[in-house]
Amino acid sequence: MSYNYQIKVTPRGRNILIVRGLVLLDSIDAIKTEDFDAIYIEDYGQSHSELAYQLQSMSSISGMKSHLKPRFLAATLKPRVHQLKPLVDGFAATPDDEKMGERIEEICNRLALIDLFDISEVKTNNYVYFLKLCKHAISRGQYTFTTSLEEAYAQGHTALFVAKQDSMISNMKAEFVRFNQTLRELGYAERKKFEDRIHVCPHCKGSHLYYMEACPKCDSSRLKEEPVLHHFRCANISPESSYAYDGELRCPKCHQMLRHIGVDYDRPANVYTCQECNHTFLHTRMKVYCASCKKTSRPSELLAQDIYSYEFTTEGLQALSSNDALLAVSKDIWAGYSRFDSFLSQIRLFSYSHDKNEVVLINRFKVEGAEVNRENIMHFVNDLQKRYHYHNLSYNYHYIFMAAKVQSSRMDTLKKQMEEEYGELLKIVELRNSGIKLAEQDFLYQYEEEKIDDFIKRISKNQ
Amino acid sequence: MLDFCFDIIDGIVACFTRNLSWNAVISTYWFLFVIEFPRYYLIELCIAIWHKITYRSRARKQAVARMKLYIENPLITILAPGKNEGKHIYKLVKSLNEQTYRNYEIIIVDDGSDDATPLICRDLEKAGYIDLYLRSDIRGGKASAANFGAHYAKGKYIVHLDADSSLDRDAIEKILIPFYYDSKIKAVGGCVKVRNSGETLCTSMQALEYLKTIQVGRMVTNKLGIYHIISGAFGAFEREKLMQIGMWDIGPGLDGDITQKIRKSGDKVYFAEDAICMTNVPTEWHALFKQRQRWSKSLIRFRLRKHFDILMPHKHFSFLNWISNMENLLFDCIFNYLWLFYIISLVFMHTDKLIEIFIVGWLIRYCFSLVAFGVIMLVSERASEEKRLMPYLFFSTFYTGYFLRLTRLLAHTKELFFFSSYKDPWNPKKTSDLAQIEGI
Repeated sequence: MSYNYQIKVTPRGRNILIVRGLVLLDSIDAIKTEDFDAIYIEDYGQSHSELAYQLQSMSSISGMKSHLKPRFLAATLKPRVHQLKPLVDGFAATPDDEKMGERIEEICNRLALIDLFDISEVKTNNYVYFLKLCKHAISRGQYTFTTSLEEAYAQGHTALFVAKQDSMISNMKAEFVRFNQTLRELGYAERKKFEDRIHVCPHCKGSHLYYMEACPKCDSSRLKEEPVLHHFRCANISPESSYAYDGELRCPKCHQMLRHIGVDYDRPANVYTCQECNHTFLHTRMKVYCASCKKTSRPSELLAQDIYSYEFTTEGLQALSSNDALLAVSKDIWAGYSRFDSFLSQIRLFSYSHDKNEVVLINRFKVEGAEVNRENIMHFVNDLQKRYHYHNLSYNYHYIFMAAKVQSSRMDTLKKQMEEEYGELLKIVELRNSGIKLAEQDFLYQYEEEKIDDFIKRISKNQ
Repeated sequence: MLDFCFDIIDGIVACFTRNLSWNAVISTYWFLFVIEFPRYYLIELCIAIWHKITYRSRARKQAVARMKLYIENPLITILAPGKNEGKHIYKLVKSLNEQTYRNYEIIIVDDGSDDATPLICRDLEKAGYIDLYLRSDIRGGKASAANFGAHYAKGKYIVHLDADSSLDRDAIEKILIPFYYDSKIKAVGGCVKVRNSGETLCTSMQALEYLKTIQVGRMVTNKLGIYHIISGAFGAFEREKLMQIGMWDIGPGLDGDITQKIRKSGDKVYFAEDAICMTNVPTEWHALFKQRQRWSKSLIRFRLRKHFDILMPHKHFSFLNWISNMENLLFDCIFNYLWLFYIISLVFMHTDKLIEIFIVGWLIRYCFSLVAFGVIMLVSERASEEKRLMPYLFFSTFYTGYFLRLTRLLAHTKELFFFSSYKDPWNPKKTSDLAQIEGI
């Protein structure tokens, strides 16, 4: 039986996993995390998409066994990598390459100083994911984050961390920004240098803006620009088209031919005419169209935003290298949708870290109907998300969960409020008419003296 | 010295008592009695009285035309071309805001200004005070600026204004009304008055002159059907007609030229003596001298040269147009040379009595100007305010009789022999050169 992978020991004593085919590391039991220190992918003629799939599955961030481990590609794969470059630590002609060996050594030495997460226990949820990004950066010796223009990033510039590591980032923009803020608040990162001042959409803070010339009267961009010709002899002045005659320029007033610019005529201005409202003007009005929220603003309404580069502080490096940062940072990562396992992890983390006056109130809905499928449910969850900004939402097996942090004294009020709003939710479901119904609503919260494991069990009991 | 003065007074008294009979007075002052008095005083007095008598019928006619105007309520374009006029635009726009006639668009044309005009106008355009701001980056002259604006005008009528002028509240309405008297009326001139009268002697004299020659003078020529100049400072034109005649040609004197073009095309022009526009006039004599030189040259350039055909018999000959131009040429140009001859002959014939003759002449003119002032008071809509200009009549002999006449004489001579209007920096050289080649 031939394997499409092989573990090779380098002269420095490091084990390199050499991959020669499509290998899904996390599903191969024969390979254990501790079996290899680095990955080298050979060129076996794989296409760009196959390479992308391979790299993402064994990414430093989302892969379990490959977590934070250095990965190199055959030098011949370089042209096929494109935007996946951040997922790769380097290229080497052979697995024995000296430079690659040095780099692996460097990364492994740094990794030795970093506590790895116990991957089997803590599933990937948003904050863990961000911390992994930090750890990845530290392991690669990257302590400074020069903000750069990013096509995929709504604000145009990356904030603290490289956004293009993984497409996952774009789905959790808000949390990512909050995570960055938290890092700064905790003193784990600090501003290093002013980079740029950009202007963003006043409605959604997006920077993917189109600047368009528009008619000052009707705001249409269907404009025609035409030079105006002044015929010296008879003082006629009108658009160039009125002079066009049989391939020549002939004055519409005195019918003389215009031969020489500066002698017979000149072009003193350019005039715009709006094709919608026929208004004529010299100066267009600029409008700004936001590609993210599809709203139009005036350039003067745009918000100026300063962009800085950041650097991890010594304190931050220590905290992020160990897992101390986890609790501190995760406190603020709450709202939004998360997968059910992440959802449960967050409840668990909350119970460890929260202030005793605060509790989590979980509002649970059973979903029924002929067309209960993931897509329909997710649409509904999206609606809920818009309405309840500060709730953590999740969905699992015909149940939608909405968790809110609340002061113990206000729990009853919130409960009542949620009960009252249940009717409105029913209406939303009805309006969507997507074939799902809300069957029942109940509330869950951790009782006093109740162990967190019991509470978690209770949450998932009816599943 | 005193003796000398007494001698002169004795001489004057003698003139009236013993030495000069009426016949002798008329033979000495024939120019005043034969040429100036009938044209500038007698006719004007008669017509002003007629104007006053027919007030009621005119008011009725005006009321009907006004009703027609408001029923149609056409969009009109207010066009103000100019160079470096930015500082006046806000005031102009504000005064337009006060107008009784509301359906207008404002087009400001900036002819290559090199001051803050573009900034001011762009701001005003953004704020919605003006509808269209057009700018030629390269200066092309007043005519091209006016044509630029007129090309983009949407109104049925175009009211041409100088940017530094301001209007009476009802001026726009009043200048539009005559279009509804007669469908053949295609252009209407407004009455221009002096805003800064009283500032200096020079401006006060011009204020008197404007009242006499514009408000009364043009009212008279209008009644006689020989009205021949629509002021560039305030005039209204039917847009379609303007397009037909190719709008404005190169100046200076483009306002007189366009009036001629409309008259030649067979349509009528009209003077609205009650549509009042105020403008600032030069405060210094040398500036006034330069301005009048420029204005006067256009008489030779346009009436005598470009539109000479009006004076000649041809297929489209019009007697009124012939009279209009002939009157203008005779009284403003030919009789000036005659006057020079008259003065020289006086000097040679009465060398010993020159001062007396001069003083008696002034006295006669003063009497004439009192008549003229009476006519002004009959016609003017703000007679009570203008009464205070009366003391300045004292100087009117010097101003109209000598200063303006000599200025005109000089300008006409320069234009006749040296074509000096084509060298006037009022127009860019590139256009003037071509205009001279083409003889326009």
